[in-house]
Order: sequence, then C-alpha cells, then structure tokens
Amino acid sequence: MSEQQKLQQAIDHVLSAVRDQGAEADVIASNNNSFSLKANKGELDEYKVTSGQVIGVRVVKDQRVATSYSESLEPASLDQMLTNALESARYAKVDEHQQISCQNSKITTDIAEIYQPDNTPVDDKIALALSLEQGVTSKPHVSSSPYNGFGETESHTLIANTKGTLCQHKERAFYCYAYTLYEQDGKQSMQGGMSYGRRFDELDGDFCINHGYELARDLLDGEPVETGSYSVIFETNALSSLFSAFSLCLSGVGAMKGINPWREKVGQQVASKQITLTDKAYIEGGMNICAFDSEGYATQDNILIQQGELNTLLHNSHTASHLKVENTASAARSAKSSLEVAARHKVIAAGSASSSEVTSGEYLELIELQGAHSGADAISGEFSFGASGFLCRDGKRVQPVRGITVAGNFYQMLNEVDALGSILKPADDRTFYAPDIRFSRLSIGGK
Amino acid sequence: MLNPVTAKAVIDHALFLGADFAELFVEHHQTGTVQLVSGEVDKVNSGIDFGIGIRLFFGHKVLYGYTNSAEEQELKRITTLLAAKDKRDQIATAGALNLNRYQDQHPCVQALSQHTHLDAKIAFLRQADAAARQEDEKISQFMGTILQREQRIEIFNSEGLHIGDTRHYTRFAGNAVAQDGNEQATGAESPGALTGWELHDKLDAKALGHEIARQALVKLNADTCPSGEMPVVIGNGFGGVIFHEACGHLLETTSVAKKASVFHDKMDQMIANPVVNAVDDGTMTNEWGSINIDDEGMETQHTQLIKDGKLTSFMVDKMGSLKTGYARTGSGRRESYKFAPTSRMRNTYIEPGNSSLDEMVAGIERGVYAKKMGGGSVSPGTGEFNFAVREAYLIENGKITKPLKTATLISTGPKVLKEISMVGTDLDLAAGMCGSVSGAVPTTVGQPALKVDNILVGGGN
Repeated sequence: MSEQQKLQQAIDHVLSAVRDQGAEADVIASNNNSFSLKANKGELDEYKVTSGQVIGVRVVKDQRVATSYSESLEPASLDQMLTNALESARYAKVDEHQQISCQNSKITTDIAEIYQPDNTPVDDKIALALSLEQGVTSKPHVSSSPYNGFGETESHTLIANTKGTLCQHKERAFYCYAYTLYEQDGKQSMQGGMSYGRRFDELDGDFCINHGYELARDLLDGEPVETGSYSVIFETNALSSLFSAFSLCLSGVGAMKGINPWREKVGQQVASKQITLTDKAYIEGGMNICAFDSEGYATQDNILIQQGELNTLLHNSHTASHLKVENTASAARSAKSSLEVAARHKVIAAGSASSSEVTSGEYLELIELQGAHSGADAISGEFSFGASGFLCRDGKRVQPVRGITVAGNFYQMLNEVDALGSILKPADDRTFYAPDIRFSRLSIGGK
Repeated sequence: MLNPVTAKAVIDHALFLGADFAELFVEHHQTGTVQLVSGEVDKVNSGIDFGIGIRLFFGHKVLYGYTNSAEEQELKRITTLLAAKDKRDQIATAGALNLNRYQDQHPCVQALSQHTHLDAKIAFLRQADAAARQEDEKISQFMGTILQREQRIEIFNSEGLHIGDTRHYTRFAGNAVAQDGNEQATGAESPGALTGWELHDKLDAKALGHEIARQALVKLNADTCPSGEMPVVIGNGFGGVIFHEACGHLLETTSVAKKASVFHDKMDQMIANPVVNAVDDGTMTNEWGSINIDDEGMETQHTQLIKDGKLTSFMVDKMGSLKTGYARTGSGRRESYKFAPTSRMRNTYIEPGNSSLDEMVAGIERGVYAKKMGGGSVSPGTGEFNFAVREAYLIENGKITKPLKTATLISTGPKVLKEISMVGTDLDLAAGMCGSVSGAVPTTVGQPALKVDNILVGGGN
C-alpha cells in the first residue's frame, strides 16, 4: 500500500468513527521525508534521512471543540486519538462559531513548480554540502564554517472532513546554507547566506558562500555608533523577522481573544499611506504556496493594509463567524495544533521612490536583528533588539556597525515612513517581499 | 517499547555495514494541554508521538535517521539507507544488551498517562484568572495554559547499553494584558517542574495570578528605558538567562569541538570575574531541567563549569568527547527521536555570593535594575548575545526609583563575565525552553541577583 493510501485509509477510519459518535470533525494527515547533510573539516559531519507521518483530528461535539493527534496510523491508535479528543471536548466551552463548515471541497494543489521530480544523484548533493564548507574555509581569514548544510524535504498532506471535503497537497523543497566565522586581529565576525529552491539546481551555493563571507568581512571592524535617533532601512530578511514578531496585529484569532491591538482598527489608518500589504496565495517562486487553507477553503489574495488603512485581518471560519466578517481562507493548523490563522506570502507593494531618494543623506542599514523572538511585545508594539549593519550616506556604506540596539514601537514605526523604494525584494525564505523602506526615526543604543 | 531482540538485530546490522557505533533511541511521548482564555476553556489538546531514532558513527561522522515504525525490517531499511555511502567491512562487534538500572531521582505521583486531571487543571487556571482580574480593573485579558507531558524513552547501543527512563513534565504559563486607554502592557509567569500534576500542590494559583497582573500593571505608562552603556543589576531567577546565553552555549562541545566557541581553548584559564562560580547540574530533584539519564543513556551529573572565575569543565556529549578528548558529562540531550543528541545545558546557574541587592544598587549613580528577564540568543562564534528585560526600574543615586518599559541588554560572553562584580545571596531558579541544533529541551536558568558594571542597554532615547 502506498503512503498516500495509508493516509487515506487512516482518514476514512477516523471520519467513520467520528460519525458513529454523532460528532463532526476535520482531519489533517501528512507524511514527510527529508534528507540533510552537514560538513566539517572537509568531511561529512552529519547525514540524516527521515521519514515521518502524523494524523490529527479536530472534533466538534455538542458545540465543543478539542484536538488530538497520533504518529501511529494503527487502528487502535486512531481510536485512542479520537477517544481522547471526544473526552477532552467535554471540558471545552460551548462555542457556536467553531464548526466544521467547509463543504465538499475537493481541491488539489495543481502547481507543477512546487512538486518537481528530482533525479539528482546523492553524490551531487554530498558534493554540494562539501563545497559549501570548502568554499568558505578556503577564503582568507576564515577560521571555520561552523554552520553549513544541504537539505531537502518532501511532504504530502491530506485534509478531509465529515462534510465531504478532501483536499490534497504535495510539495518538494531544497535548501542550503553556509556561515563564515571570520577572524582577524583578535576580532571575530560571523555571517551566513541561505538559498531555497524547488529544484536542486535552483540552489545557489556560491551566493551562500560569498554573501556570508563578504558580510562577515565587512562587519569585522564594526563599532557602535553614538546613541541617538536614526533613519533606518532594514535589509529584507531583518524586516521580515520584524513583521513576523508582530504578526499578532493581523490575526483574527488575536482579535477574537481581545489581545490584537488592531482588533478595532479595521477601516482605520494604521500605517503610512505609502504602505500596502497583501497576503498573496500565489507568487512565482514563493515557498508557501498551497491551493487551500487548513480547513479546505480555496486560498486567495487578501489586501490587509491598503494605502495605510487596515482592510481586514486574517480569518478562518471560526474567527469570521465570531466577529461577523468575511472568511479570508487563512486557516492554519498542523496535525498537532488547534485552528489558527496565518498569512501565506506577505507582500509590501513597491513604492515610487528612486534608490537615490530612499538612500539620501545619513541612515543606518540594519542587516541583522538579534533577539527578534524575545525582544518584541506584540501587544504594546514595543521592541528592542541587538542589531548590526552599516552607517550609510547617500547610498554608500561608510562604517560597519556592531554592538548596537534598535528600539521603538512597531505600530508607531509603520506611520513614520520616509520613502518606499520601487524594487520588490524577496526575503531568503521567499515568504516575505518588500521594497527598501526608510523609517524616519528609531532609537539606537550605542556608545 | 522495542523488543530487545529487534534492537540487537538492527544494531548488529549497522555494525555489519561497518559502523563504529550504533544506537537506537525509542520514544513514546504523550502530551495534554488545556488553555483558558477570557475565563473559558479555549483549547484542550492531546497527542501521542512515537518514533525511533537511529544513530551511527563512522569515525567522527554522524549518520542519523528516524521512523515511526518499530518493525525490524523498516529499522534495517533506514540503517542501510544511512550507511549506503560509508559501507565497509565490519570492524566492531556489538556487546550483549544488558538492562541497566538506576535509582529514579525524580519521583512522580500524578502521571499524565494515569489521569488527565482536566477538572483540577481548569479550576487552577480559573483561580489564577480571577486573582489577576481582581488585582485591578485595568487587567483586560488573562490567558493561562497548563501543559503536561510524559516522555518514555528507551536506549540501546552497540556497547551493550539498554536503559530506559520516564520523564514527567508539568508547566503552567500565564499571561495578562493591562490596558489604560491606548496603552497596553503584559505580564507573564511560567513555572514548571520535572514532575506530574502534583506540581499544583507547590504552586499558588492566586499568587501567580496576582504576580502576573502586577507585572503588567507596573509597565503601564512606565517611562522609556534609557539607552547606552551603564551598570545594570540583574534580578535573581530567570536573570540567569544572562549566563545561559553569555556563557552556557559557549561551553557546549557542540560549538567547542568546531572551535566555534570563543572559549574553546580557555580550559583552566580565568574567563570570568573571580566572584563567579557556575554549575550545570542534572541531578536536582524534580527540577525542570533535570534528568535521570541523558539522551545517550549516561547517568546525569553535577558539573562545575566555572570555579572562582576559572573555566573548569565543558558540557560534553559522546561525539563531543570523541572529538575533544574531554570526558562525557551526561549532557547529551535532544528534543525527541527526530534529533541526534548534542551537548546541552540542564539546570545551569551561578552560585550564590555574599552581596545584598541594596549593596549592589547603592553603588550606582545611574543605571537599571532588570528585575525580570525574558529570552535571548547568542552567536557562539563571536560570543555576541542579547536578552530581553521584561520588568525594569531606573536606578538613580543608589536608589531604585521608577518603572521602565522593556529593553534589551547586549554584550559578548567574555566581556560580560568579567563585568560581573557583585553576586548576591538570593539564588533562585526558573524554567525555560532552550532551542539549539538538537531541538528545544527543558532547561533551568538561575542566579542570585548580580551586578554588571557596564553593559549596553537598548531602550529609547
């Protein structure tokens, strides 16, 4: 029996048992295979092959909801999973808004680019892994490449429910990365580069090597700038991590719970008029493409902020019903989690300012934010991170900068935009796209 | 969980393929979570993970794979796949498997697999919720979660090791939001222990609710934290995250072996101010970061990392030992069967000194008292670290004066260890989750209050 047939059989078993219990449910089942390599001192240091599966049920009984999962697809394990979910649901609040609502959805992600055949010999992948380390360590002043590797993943996901929905999605992805530890005159600097792709030959090992090396070299002599207020342009990956830290403000789930600071701001100005932010279901080369959300609804483009005005939050059927708004098909749930919401590809539309306009005068180009997971308060908007980058004048880097902090209020910062560049740039992971955005004033802690 | 005959057959197969060492890590992991939002039960989740990780050594190369199947055929298939590129004539022979026994140092009474105790957990959360809201009408939201899990593991290896353990974890996490007009602030507490639901006997739901609300309220309308280099007094308990980030990760052989730690060649050298003594201890009864055995099957131990400022030990796993020559310290840990183990921290703390908080504050003309810390991160190669301050106060002319908004502290490990000039007497520990190459593992951080003479504070201006 194929892996797909095993998943399908497990889903049928669970949904049949759910119906026997007079309940409703949706089920997410997936299997994942992965292969990854790391190199150290010219040899493979780690060689990892994995194969995993999981099934998760979200059950609704008497308007009460609970979830449970199992990594075993054996009938006894599936029965135990369902028993646990039904038992748990007895304790949950009565919630008329959380239902199994997606009817007879039969969507299969039919986008060839995200699941392409791969016949690359293993030896080629090993060669890439070794070349990443070798490429870094062969350069001057490099003491090591402490983190490097190649990896690939293949996943197959099925979503089904008691309302006749059955959606399927397959994808394959590749990645590689290399970090440079640069040492000279008793100083160290470490930076890296990453590359993602849907095919092995899309990976850009040279970029990983050279990007990390050049940044580490250029930042080696970095010093703090004077404490004060500075104009700031975040490199796209840094801007992506900043938006991720404050994703609560776009969450319908957060609004429902009363913790989203923008919960009553739909229709109001929340950002500079220069900002238009769209959640795109499909973008060429995007790494989070799926034709349906985690409830089975067809994904769609959602304009979240239009010229600074909050147009909608991200919603699933639960939050949409609770808040009496349109569902944006943004349901996000893994087999192991409860129903949440998430964007697929966040795209900040390019502006009209030329590169020279965006980079005129003095500003800080921040390449890296440290502690973005811990230094942000998504409710108050306050943030404070370690940072490194360059002090720039008129588009030219004039001084490497390390050992500084950048602090501000994210929600205030969005209203203080000096200029938006006209070229859209992807973050390395290709789920976030933005032009250069010059923020007028952020607090920098330095010397 | 896995028939020893099957385990032996797979290990023999791995050695037949030429491996120097083979290991099976079998895991059955049950979880149960209940969450309260707005006074109502918002989520009740449960699940069971089961899988087997296979680790092979060929010299210093680690081959790792996992599967959800306990079938001998599938385990051998994964093993063959792993060894495909390194296959050679057999050079090692597996020892007979002997079941190792040891004394359980972390007893559990109310295990998740015996009873979920959902009624009691919900009642506990409601108590905390009520206490938080009672603190002030400005408390606009409270969210509380109780997570309980039970991880059963079994380890077999080609040296004849057969050993098992069951780890019971219980943790409460509460967050409150205070609102005053457009201003909002949050408070949080998340105590946990390596124990069952009997943890609730040691926790006071009302006190937790009050404390979480207090933290949120004190930050409402607080002044902006100043920026720049200044002296900082870091509070006890979770303040220990400074040592975890500034030094702990740099003493794991995961980075030491690659010379990706600034301390890799500093053994027996002074790396900290002489007032600093630091420990990583897996033996503390029922402590969140404790273990009976590590995830390579070695009994855990108390490891003195720094004594009077001098580096005395790294944290060493099996492969780290092979690469560096240092003896293993029972520090091989992993999140689950999906990860190969690496050297990781357990309960890591700075030992008490002899200064009082008042003495530390008294000598500061202008600085910050960082009473509650948040998370942080470190770049081991450079030692650059950061961590968040969740509750801070201004120190002016030797006195703690007014509350401040949140801030970040940044420095490098080698620098900050030498800037610690005073260590307090009030050692306390706090539970956290630490993420690294072998996944997220429960770790405890801890310290008495301590004074850092000079560190960069990132606030506003």
